[in-house]
Amino acid sequence: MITTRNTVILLVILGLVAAGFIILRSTPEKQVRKQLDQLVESVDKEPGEPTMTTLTKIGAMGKLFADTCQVTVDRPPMEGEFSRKEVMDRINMARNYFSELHLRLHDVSILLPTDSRAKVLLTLRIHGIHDNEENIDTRELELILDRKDRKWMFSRVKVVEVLEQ
Amino acid sequence: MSLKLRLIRIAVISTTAWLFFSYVLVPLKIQGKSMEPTYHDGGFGFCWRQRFLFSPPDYGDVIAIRFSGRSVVLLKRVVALAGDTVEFRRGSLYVNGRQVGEPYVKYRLDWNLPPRTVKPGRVYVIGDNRGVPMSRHHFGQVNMQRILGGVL
Repeated sequence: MITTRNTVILLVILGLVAAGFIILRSTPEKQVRKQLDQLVESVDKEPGEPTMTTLTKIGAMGKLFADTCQVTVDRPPMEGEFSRKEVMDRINMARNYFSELHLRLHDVSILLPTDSRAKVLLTLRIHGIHDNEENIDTRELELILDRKDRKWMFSRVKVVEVLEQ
Repeated sequence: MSLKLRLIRIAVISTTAWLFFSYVLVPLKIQGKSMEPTYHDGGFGFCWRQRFLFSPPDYGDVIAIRFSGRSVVLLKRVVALAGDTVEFRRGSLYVNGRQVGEPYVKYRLDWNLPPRTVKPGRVYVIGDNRGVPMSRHHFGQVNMQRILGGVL
């Protein structure tokens, strides 16, 4: 029987379904954000990290980068096109240097100029511990992710020079 | 006082406080030692957003510099303006060839930096803590558009 009460309940249920659909549906922006979270998770290192965890993280990290990646860093100066393996080696070097390493992303903005390209601007806070000494650094990053085979992969990493010596 | 009036009052106070602490006096939690001893790690400060509304930053001003947004900022001191030449000789700062007295600097290492000219639309900023190796201290010229305000 159609009553006012039943109509209201139906509308509430429809509203909840619509809200759930909007919240849960996968958009390109959410997919890009997921890749950023994955990168942070893979680079993060707890003290005394087991070798198995390191290998799992390296494997996961490798899937985030394109075959070649354009890297531009101001300090120490580094610019060029690097293979996935070279990028991984450098990240691993940094991970090995620190006994503990944590990344935090702030003020992330994602632009989608085309269906297959995302431009990300963010602030990266790096907190690392080496020889019991705390190292804190902040950098602004400009990232390009390209979509290939329905997967977003980092194809360009640029450290923005905020302070030019 | 009626409930309606009380709610309106709470809403007005909350909105005013939010606007004031977002656009006028932004609270800062200080992390890092680059401005020691003027600002201590773990300390608290405020960024006065309108500080440079009518006059540009000047020598000695402590400014907040933004990155991609406003959540994380750098605190640095302005030591040179556009057109000035900046250099370090054995830990001493020279601007336009003259040594600058810096009473706010307590720790000083033997920094050496060849002279360089500050580009138009920029200011040269350095932290007060010079007791760390130069390679580990963030300093240099910054675009004025990145300046969020003055630090109190």
